Amino acid sequence: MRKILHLLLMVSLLTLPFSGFCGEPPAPSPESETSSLFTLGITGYQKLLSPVLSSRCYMQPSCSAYAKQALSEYGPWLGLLLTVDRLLHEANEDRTSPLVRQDNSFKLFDPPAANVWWKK
Amino acid sequence: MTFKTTTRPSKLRLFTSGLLLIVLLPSLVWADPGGNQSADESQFAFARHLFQHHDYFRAITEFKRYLFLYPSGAKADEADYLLGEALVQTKSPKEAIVQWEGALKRNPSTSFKDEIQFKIGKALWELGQEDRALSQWENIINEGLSSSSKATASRAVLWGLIKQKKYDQARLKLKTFPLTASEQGIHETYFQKAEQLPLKSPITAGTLAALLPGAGHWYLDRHQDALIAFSINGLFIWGAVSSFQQGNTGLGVLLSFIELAWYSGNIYSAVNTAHKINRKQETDFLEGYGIRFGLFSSTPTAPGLYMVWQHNF
Repeated sequence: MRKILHLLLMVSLLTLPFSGFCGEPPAPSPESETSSLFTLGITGYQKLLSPVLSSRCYMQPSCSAYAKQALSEYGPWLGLLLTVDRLLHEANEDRTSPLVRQDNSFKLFDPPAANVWWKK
Repeated sequence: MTFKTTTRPSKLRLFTSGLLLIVLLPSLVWADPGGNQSADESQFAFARHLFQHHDYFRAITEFKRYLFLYPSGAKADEADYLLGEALVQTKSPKEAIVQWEGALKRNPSTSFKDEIQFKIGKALWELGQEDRALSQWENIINEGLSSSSKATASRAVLWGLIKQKKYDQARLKLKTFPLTASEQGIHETYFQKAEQLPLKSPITAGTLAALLPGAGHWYLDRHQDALIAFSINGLFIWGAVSSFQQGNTGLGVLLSFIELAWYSGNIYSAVNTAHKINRKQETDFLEGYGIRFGLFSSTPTAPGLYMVWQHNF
């Protein structure tokens, strides 16, 4: 039990500084706390890891932007499912998603709305 | 030595000049400083120029100005029609429908009646009011002014019914529509193709994914996705089991929690991908069907398709 608490504390400490010290006041949002926690984690990835890894994503929006959008539009649980779905299906997505131009390259357009089949 | 010449206008020349002045001055009243076009024609030409150069917002203003200043002008019907079209181009289909319905009310015998009805149908279709759209197109078939507009409307109705998967109804209508026998045969071929589209079952995909992560994607012929789903789920399951076996309960619980997300996402992804594949199959088929009969057009500069009504301005 102590280990689980330690892990949760570690995740919180890793994500909280991005809202506290990055100079951006947190925008008021109706999202639940769980959704906010995930979003903070993604923001952390976008600010710390993504610039180091450089932009290699050939999807539009990128996976992290997609996850943030999914979490804010569909809540934490469906947002999480949509995020996992995106991470799994991006390898073969060229068969089903249209190409769009972004800057000087073409990317596969796959927003969260395209993956919620019961909402046309 | 200098020569001094003096010219004295003769009386005849003075008289001629005076006469010309008297005759030509009043003609200025009828003179057109703007060229050959009258004011209403210039106004319309300017509005249409903006429309043709895709400056739709300003074209709307100029067509409205034309219709306000010259409500019964020679180009009022065309202005009514193009105003609606400009509204559609600015993503205001509801306003376009109101505009076109008003135009038909003001002049029920307008030469643009068929075009307007067709475009109302198209706008209704895009707004999701498919049955109203079909009835608009059927009005053209029953009361249309020309045989070509009746044929275009017939094709649009058939296309709409196939999109709604009403194959029997489409077959019944096909027999009554004013189309040639050879064209009817081609439509029938398309109906058969539509019925035999190789669609995937979302239920089968979801069930397979639940039984073995990745199997759902394999069934959908997305082998890379299948391997990724299988590997990630396998890795987290192995990690969780190992953690519990080594007495590392905390890590085991955390890994199980993460695995649950991957497992659920794998099922969701299989079902979603099946729906996406089916949607793509149907969209591609309907686009091909529409292009075959001139209902759709695509341009290299504007990717995507749009329903067209061929009219030369």
